[in-house]
Amino acid sequence: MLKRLMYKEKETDTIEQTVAAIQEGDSEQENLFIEQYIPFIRKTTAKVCKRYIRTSEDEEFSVALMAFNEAIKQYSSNKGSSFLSFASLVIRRRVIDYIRQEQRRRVTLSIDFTEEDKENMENLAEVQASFKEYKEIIETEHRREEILHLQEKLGEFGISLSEVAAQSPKHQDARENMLEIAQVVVSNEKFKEFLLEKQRLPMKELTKSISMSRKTIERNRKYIITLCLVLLEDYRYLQDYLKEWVS
Amino acid sequence: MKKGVVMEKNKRYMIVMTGKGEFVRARLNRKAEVGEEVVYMPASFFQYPIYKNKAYSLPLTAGLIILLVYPGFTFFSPEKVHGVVALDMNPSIEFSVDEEFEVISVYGYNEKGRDLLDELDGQLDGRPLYSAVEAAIEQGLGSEIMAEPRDIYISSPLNLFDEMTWGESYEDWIESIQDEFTVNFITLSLEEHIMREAREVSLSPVKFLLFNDAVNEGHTIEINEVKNETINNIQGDTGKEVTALLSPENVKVSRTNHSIAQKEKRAETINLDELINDTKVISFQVPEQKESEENNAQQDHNEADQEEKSEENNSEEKNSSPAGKSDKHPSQNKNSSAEKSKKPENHPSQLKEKNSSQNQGSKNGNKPETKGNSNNNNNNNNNNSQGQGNTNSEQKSKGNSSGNSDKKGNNGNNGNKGNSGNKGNSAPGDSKGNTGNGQGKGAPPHSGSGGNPSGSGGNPGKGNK
Repeated sequence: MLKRLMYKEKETDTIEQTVAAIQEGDSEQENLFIEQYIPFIRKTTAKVCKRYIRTSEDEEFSVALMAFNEAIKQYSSNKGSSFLSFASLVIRRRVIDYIRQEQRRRVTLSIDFTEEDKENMENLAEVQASFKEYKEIIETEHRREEILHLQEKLGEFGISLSEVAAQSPKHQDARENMLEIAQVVVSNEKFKEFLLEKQRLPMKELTKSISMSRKTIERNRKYIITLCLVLLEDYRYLQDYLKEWVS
Repeated sequence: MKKGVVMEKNKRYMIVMTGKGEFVRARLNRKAEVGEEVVYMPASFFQYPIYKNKAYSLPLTAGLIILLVYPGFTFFSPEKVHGVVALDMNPSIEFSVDEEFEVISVYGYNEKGRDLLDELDGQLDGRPLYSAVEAAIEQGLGSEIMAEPRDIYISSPLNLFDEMTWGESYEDWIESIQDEFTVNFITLSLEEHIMREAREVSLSPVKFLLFNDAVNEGHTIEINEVKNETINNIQGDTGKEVTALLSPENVKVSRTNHSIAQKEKRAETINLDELINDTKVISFQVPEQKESEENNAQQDHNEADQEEKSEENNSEEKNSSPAGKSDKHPSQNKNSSAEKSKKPENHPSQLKEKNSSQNQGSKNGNKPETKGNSNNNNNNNNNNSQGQGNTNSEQKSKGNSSGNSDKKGNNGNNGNKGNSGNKGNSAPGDSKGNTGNGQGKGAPPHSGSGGNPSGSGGNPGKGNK
């Protein structure tokens, strides 16, 4: 078991190290790395599209490939718990964007295009409203992907959202206290590593650096972990939704 | 109005995250999709309270189980047999009663008993004991299953016998039945294990006692024989009465006398307990105490003698003339204070004597007994007979005036003699008529009633003069 832990650590190191190397300009390794992770890209894309993805035919796959490349370029240690987690998020975002775009284009290029639609388009207010609606839909889709991602992540920790809901403090003050703890964990490199590796909160150290009682932390353990993940991962839309509260 | 992003959709609820970082279980909105921002209603708090906290589940479950089982307890507890009362009138029946003395189940010891129960067809269940027994007696008399003489043995465990058993006091109850039927009651209080053993051999307790005794005495009797025999027959065979097998305080005997011509009924309740309280020798014992009898062989010698004597007496008494009895009766009926000073030997004989005398007494028109007996029944009976006389006297107006003077004399005499007030009070109106009757008619058809006034005081004679 100890061996496995050591091995895991080593591997994650290599992924992140490889990514760092690619960012330095190692184009050879870049191609190799992308080729190595084609199954991962396909899998992620299939999750968003909810269908089988053929690497040779599907447009979504090329979008995903580009997204993966983008992820390599953009990745930094403060964006998400791991590169793969981050890459998965980026791929989902891009693929969703692409699908939406395609849909819109399909509407405009539709054979059923009529004068009425055109007339509607001319109305500025309506156009604005439709844009807003569209934006909301996009947001929802992105959020959904992020939530699914979050659920997967929480699953790794053995936490379900129902449990989080059960532990979620009712009072705002209490929630803010929890958020404080989560921010401490995320901002502290040591705590973050401990959390991601051991998949539990670094209680001992936390109680030292935080005035809150151990019991309070333990009681809301799952909620805190969830908050940590939300802050840690590159959940743009979820964080956006929570921005008033988080900041 | 609360808004939040749907995080998870479940079968019955969904998880919503508000903009303020709260995760809430919300009422399910089927249209909403994950990631969508919706207006939500918090899931009702009491939806699944049991699952909210596992710590509550155990006491809750326990409580539910108790609730489920408790009604069962209350249903079954009244069904529990509180005691058993056996009725022996040759059909032998057993009543199982609960604490309220209501019949739970009945059981026939012998075939006749079962026949009787068949005829009643479950009517007895759930009725109060006294009414069930009444019904059984009525049925038994009606269908003539019952043998003559009509002795009814009621046996019950000692602890069962209290005021509640019969709904009213035992004596009142017996009386009320004897008003209706001509039956003798012998009530035995037995120890519980005897009842149990009797039940095991499917024999009524009374018969079981007799049977046991017979076997101990060396008689050879089959259980099956005993089963269908009447108790009287068994007693004849073994030469012992059940009453003799038990300690006297556990036996209550009440007999009716039935004279067809005059419809006179008479019941006597002998309180043997009182009679024998101070006797030095305990003459009767419950069978299982026989071991002690053997140990104290010498003492028992006396007892045996007494028993023999009593039996002799019994036979003698039966044969003896009423005059002989009349001698003994007054003494018997006097109160215990007088009685106690007497020799103990007399008691068994008195008991027997009484039984036999009652039969004869009725034939003899109650002459000797009316005087001594302070029994209500007696008075009533007298009244009845005198009442007949009354109508007679009214027809004859002459007799009245002379009758009045008689009555006065009568009353005075009664007072002097110290006879029971009862008689004095209830008698006057009637006695008037009676004497009148005697005068006017000379020889009344019923010598008994005519004899009464003379018997009570001998004073009417004076009045007549």
